[in-house]
Amino acid sequence: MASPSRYYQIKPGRKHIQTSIVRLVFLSLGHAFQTAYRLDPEVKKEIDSWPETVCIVMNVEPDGPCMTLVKRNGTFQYLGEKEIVNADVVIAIKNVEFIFRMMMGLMSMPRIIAENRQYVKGDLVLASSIIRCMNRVQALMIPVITGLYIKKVPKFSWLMVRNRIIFWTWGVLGQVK
Amino acid sequence: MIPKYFEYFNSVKVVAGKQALARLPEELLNLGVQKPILVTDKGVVNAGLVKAVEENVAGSGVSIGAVYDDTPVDSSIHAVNAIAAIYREKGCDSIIAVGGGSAIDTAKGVNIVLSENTDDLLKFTGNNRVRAVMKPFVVIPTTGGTGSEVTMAAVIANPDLGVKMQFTTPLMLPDFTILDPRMTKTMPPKITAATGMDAMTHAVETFMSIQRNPVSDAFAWSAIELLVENLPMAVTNGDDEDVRLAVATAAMLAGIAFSNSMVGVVHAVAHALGGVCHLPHGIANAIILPFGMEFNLPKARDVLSDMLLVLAGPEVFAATPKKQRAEKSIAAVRDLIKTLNRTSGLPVCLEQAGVPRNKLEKVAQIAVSDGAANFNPIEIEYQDALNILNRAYA
Repeated sequence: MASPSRYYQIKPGRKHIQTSIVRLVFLSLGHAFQTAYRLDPEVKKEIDSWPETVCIVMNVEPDGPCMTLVKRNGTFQYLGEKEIVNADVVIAIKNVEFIFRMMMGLMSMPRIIAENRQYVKGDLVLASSIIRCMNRVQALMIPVITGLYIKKVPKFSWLMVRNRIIFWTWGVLGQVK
Repeated sequence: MIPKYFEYFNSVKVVAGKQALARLPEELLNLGVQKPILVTDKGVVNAGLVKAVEENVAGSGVSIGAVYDDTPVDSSIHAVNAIAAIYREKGCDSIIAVGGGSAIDTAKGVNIVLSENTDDLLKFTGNNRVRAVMKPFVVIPTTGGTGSEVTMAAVIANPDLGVKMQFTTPLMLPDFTILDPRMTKTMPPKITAATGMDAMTHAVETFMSIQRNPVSDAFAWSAIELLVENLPMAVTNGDDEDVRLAVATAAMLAGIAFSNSMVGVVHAVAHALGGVCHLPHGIANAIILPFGMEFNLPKARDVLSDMLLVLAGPEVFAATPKKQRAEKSIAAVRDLIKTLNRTSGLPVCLEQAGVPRNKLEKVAQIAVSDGAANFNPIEIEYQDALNILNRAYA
């Protein structure tokens, strides 16, 4: 019989590059949410329809990057990777690979949902509203190839162009508060 | 067409056929249980269906620990907690749901409360939140439509908070289900038509879903075939056990299909109609279905064209030019609804169903946030939902 050392163990590795890129995109996405709430009337209307105080977390399992958004006292803020134990809604992506592919435009959010690459903890109705906002936020962030990310691309408008310019100059740095 | 990725799961043993109920004690003993609590409602008791269950367990070594017959029309957290307390007090070891969607969803909620040893269901709302090993669970449906006997979802209202909590987890699937035509024979024609159209909507929407896959297609196809052939007869001749069994089987097949390949716009609007106007789910689905098919036409033309074969038969399919088949499929569904309207009084529009016109905007607002909307091939916006409702109104 061969020595036990012959049968090697596979240790859980890390995907450092993907994780770093996802972390960076989460940062932009968080700031884009914050910016969209100030600039986009549809996102504002949607978020205003939520309860007064709401905490949303989007994370990557098991211990990947996360994005925390909070609505309270009439404001909507991105709190970075702040860990919140009792978030109202947690959208958990099951593997960093899926969110990485989504962010690279290789997999849309509807596909992520259809293929069970994520799951939701908490109020599913609120989660649907968050996803609707995220579609709009992605349209704000990404011109031209928006169709790779969402089902229905919003019609062209000069307001959207203006908002994109504001986001990519100030919003992406978290300056639109 | 093969999708790039798909999942399929269903672990429910199906015991179907005439006298299938007689298998109940044996299947319970196989699970190692002998004192189930029975969750049902007054309508089921008055129809003599609980008595049928009692007769079938007599002399088998299985005793019914308690019969809870106060399940409300919409499953509620109060009923769930009350049943869980009775279960513990009586020392029961398993759960049997006998009834329609409400009794089954209530029993699923009871199973979560008992298995997680909690009194706060709210903690488990969402997808896959339940982790505990569940209690043995059996479903005996008395309506042919919801498919809840084979689905991994439940909706339970929390009247105190004014919310409807949704739960999805494969752990909630029953261990087995019994489809016995005697259990659906007492359904009046209008309810038979409405629940049958609920099953039809599950099957048709599965075909249009973004989760559509070859396995769910196979189940949905068989369900539509059985429904087209048997539903009109089940409405006009409810005493025919063969026809009743066919409809119950179709509902089960459609249930398996949609629990693996979710429904879409029709259910999103129908759920909202139920929530705002208290319109029964089957009736809402029947009214909205053709309009939902039309809405999805730009993305689902091919699949709706193929569906004509099963909806209208090979002669009509062959005689219809390829470009017109999708529209003809929608017309075939409309014809079926009209037939059911003539024979059972099933409403064909929202006005007939008593929906107030001034509630449509509220319904549209809620419909776009429904979980089913995420699985529709076309994004549903407020104006889209409102257009569907306006067109379905009169």
